[in-house]
Amino acid sequence: MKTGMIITMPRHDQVTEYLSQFSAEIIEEADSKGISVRRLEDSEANSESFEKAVKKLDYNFLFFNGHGSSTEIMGHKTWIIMLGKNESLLHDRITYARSCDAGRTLGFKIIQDSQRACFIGYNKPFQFYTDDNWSSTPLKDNKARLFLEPSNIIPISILKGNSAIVACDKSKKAFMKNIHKLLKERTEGAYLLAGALWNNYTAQVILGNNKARMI
Amino acid sequence: MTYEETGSKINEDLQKLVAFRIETLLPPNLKLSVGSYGSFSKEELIEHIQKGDEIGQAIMESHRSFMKALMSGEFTDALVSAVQE
Repeated sequence: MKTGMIITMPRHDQVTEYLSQFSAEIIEEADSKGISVRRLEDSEANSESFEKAVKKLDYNFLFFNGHGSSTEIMGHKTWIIMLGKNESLLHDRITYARSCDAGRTLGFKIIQDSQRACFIGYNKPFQFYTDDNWSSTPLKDNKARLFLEPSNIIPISILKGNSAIVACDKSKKAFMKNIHKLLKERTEGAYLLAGALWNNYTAQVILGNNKARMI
Repeated sequence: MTYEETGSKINEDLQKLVAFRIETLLPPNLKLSVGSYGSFSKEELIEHIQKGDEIGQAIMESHRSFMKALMSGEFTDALVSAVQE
């Protein structure tokens, strides 16, 4: 297995547009460390392209942006990983699925079949608020940033050479620090935003080989 | 009141509480993205909660879970731990 990251960046709706745009800083981190990245953007975020990339490059870190369910990780309007079809592609690798619910069933199946695999995901729907005033320029949306920056910490921390469990701990702390900031500053809607951050904090799961590192 | 009636009443009260919180606390320019369900405005969130559909249930469960964490002290412990570091 080689050191590198495959990242999916679908952009077929507002949610995936936000997730993909906020992934830019993760790619910057990889570039700064000289770590190879294969991006599967827009319609290339499909199972066929993903399978080709994994088999050809054999990278050890997979980062999925997109919708999901307990048995699927979605790409650009189609599935990329489906339980019972191609989850074996995730064996022995570190996977971070910024996709809802994949931590509930799919993640468990992967670590059951592969002792070296590590799966990080969410076992409830991932929530984030967006500000309509910035919907056409997501990176300027500071409300969305409160949610997506803490979740970005996972791949960034892994790219820095930390273990999966350390990456998750850092991410969870960041969610709580953002809650603290909201409540302290009495930001409008703070209580509701805090509730959604708490949802993501409690939904984040790490399964399998939690000491796994990519470097 | 039977067990089922109690459960139904609690769900109804939770619906009203969550809808009221969103009505009074959520600024109109913010939308909530809920997993694969999509992105919802204040009015849409309240509509789903009042309907009690899958999306409404997901939102209410999230609120219920947060309130439970506040009451049990789990939230405070996590907050203090994160801030102290």
